[in-house]
Amino acid sequence: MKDGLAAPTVDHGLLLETRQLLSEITVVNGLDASDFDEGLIRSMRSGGLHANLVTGLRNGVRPIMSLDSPHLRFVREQSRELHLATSVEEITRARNDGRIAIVFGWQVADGIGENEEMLEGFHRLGLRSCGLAYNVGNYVGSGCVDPAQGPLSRFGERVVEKLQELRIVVDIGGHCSEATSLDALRVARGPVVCSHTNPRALRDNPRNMTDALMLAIARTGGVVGITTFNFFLAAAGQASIEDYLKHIDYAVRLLGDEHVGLGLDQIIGRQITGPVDPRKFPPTAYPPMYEDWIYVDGLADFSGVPQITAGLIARGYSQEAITRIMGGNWLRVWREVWGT
Amino acid sequence: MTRDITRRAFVGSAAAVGGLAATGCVSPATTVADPRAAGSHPGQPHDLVADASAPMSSPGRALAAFRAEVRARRAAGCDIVLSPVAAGETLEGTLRNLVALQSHLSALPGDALLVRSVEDLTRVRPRIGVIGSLHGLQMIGENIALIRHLRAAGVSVMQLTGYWKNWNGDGCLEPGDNPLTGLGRMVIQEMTRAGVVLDLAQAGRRTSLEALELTTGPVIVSRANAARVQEHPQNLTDAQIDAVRARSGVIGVSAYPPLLSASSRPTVEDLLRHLHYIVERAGIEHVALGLDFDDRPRRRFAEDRLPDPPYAYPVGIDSIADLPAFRERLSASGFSADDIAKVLGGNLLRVLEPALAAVAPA
Repeated sequence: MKDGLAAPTVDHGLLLETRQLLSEITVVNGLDASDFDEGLIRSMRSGGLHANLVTGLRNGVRPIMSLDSPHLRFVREQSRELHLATSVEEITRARNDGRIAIVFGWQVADGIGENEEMLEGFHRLGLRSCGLAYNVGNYVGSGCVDPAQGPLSRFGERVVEKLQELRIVVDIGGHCSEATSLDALRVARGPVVCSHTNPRALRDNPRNMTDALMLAIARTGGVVGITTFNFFLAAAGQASIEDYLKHIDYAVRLLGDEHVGLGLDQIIGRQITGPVDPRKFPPTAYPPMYEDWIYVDGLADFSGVPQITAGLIARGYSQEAITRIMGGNWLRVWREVWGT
Repeated sequence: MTRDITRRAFVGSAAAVGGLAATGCVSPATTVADPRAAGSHPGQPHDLVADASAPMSSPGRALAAFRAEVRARRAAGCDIVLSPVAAGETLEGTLRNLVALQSHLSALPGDALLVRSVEDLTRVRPRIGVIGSLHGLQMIGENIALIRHLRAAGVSVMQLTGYWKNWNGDGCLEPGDNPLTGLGRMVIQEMTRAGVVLDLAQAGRRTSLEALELTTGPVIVSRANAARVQEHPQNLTDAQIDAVRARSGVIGVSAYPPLLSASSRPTVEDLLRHLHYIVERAGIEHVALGLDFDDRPRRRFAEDRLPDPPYAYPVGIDSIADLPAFRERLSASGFSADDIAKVLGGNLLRVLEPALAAVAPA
């Protein structure tokens, strides 16, 4: 038995119940930062993932930043394993086909420079979720760890309006400043999400989210995804799955079980070492060395996802609640925004 | 009512204007009989007349039109122009504009030259000297290493922002009035290291005050008037004027109409009012010209407090041809010949010189 696993004995009843439930529900990860390659497919399969919003690199390139994005070829070549989805209907169909649905998303709006009209083209290429600022200021707004923290710029307002017009999910991501996030909520009509964050009430980290902002997101009908990035859960030592479940618990108690989801934010396959850029990843929010960017024990990749389900069952969550938290909430908000 | 300019129209108009308006005649402050004789009397830098903003060079501008502008500047006695090679372009567009500028300059070796060093300043007359500038650093994004490369290519003056928010901070038309970003702080230090003059024209108030607090290098506000005389986001508050003075910087008073008065047709009196205000507030050492005769559209959003072209440039100074008459007005207004030489170019060049003298470290 590996060190660090929770239970020294296997609860067969729980195992069966977990397997049964997992065979019925649709498991959706609301934000992935992993390298988008064959290794990711294996990991998603091992965890029984049905849909994944990818934002990570392939051949060093972020998804659909250009017409020759290697992501486009990859989804085409992997059409037996994957389906590029632009509707919830497609996600459901892919699940029935035994394929994993992939949704293209961006964590930041830098791909459009100062021109919101470019969203038309990226929408055509499959973009269905879009962040705003990433830790530092850009044309759109300000980031959560930058000295300058302010609202959306004029251009940022136009970007949010354009995203809504195109029915692309507006994702404040967790990386925007609070002022920019609140401003996006002000400008947007319809649900806004935060794809990947953790409750600041449980772990005081500038990258984590206040109760007030999470509540504001929930009021739009949106969803808050909870990450497994260790430093967002624990200042020292490695967090356990129990710690992760505490974060889910907290969010559900605050927002209700219709507004919480998985936003695992893993970096499967990435092998960067050395110091981080302290401007973008200051030590108040991130470990200063990439080697120390660890994840919750057992949740560094998707193989541990069934343990989240098992943990929720063990905590007494209803099947309906688990269905929502493990994916139903993402599907609901995506259907509402995309219209399909 | 007015609506946002489409992105295409904005960029297209920005690219449509090219070249420089310039014809040369010599500042009366010199003592040489025929200063147009090349090499007969190298202009002392502080006798040169400089305008801190003249229209862009672009690939689209025909050589004939460029030459006509150069000659108009010389005829008016304007020796030096700060000419933006980009105002919202991509990096590729900026480099293309630089290539076009250099191509025009090599076709007119007797009329104009690129000024990149103090030594270049001494060789300007009887030609005009072009100092490359940028109206914002959008084209470099986060890649601040490009600052020294652009400096090597002849861009010696760079605005931190345009009218709107960029990676460095807020422009003055943003409602947020936010401070410098972390990157903006790094950019300011890099500019000083690279021998680039920091230009805070169009910057938001808080962004510019922080920049003035932080910088240890040469700084100008190439085009701005006094907010107390005419309120406008691009005009400077007393606090900003004081901060420029504290940094030994200069403010280029502008003929761009919305900065002058609320009238539909301002006059040269309005420009003089702003000039006098800043001189009284900061002293004669801190005023320059940033006339900004440039008819391209500037508005981007419906909310922008900017008019659409054609602009009603002030009666009495509505083009560079009025520069000699403006010099007379300054004299009639009570300024000494020395003071006039400072305002018309000496102050600006005093601030530019350390940057022009700097050699960017490898």
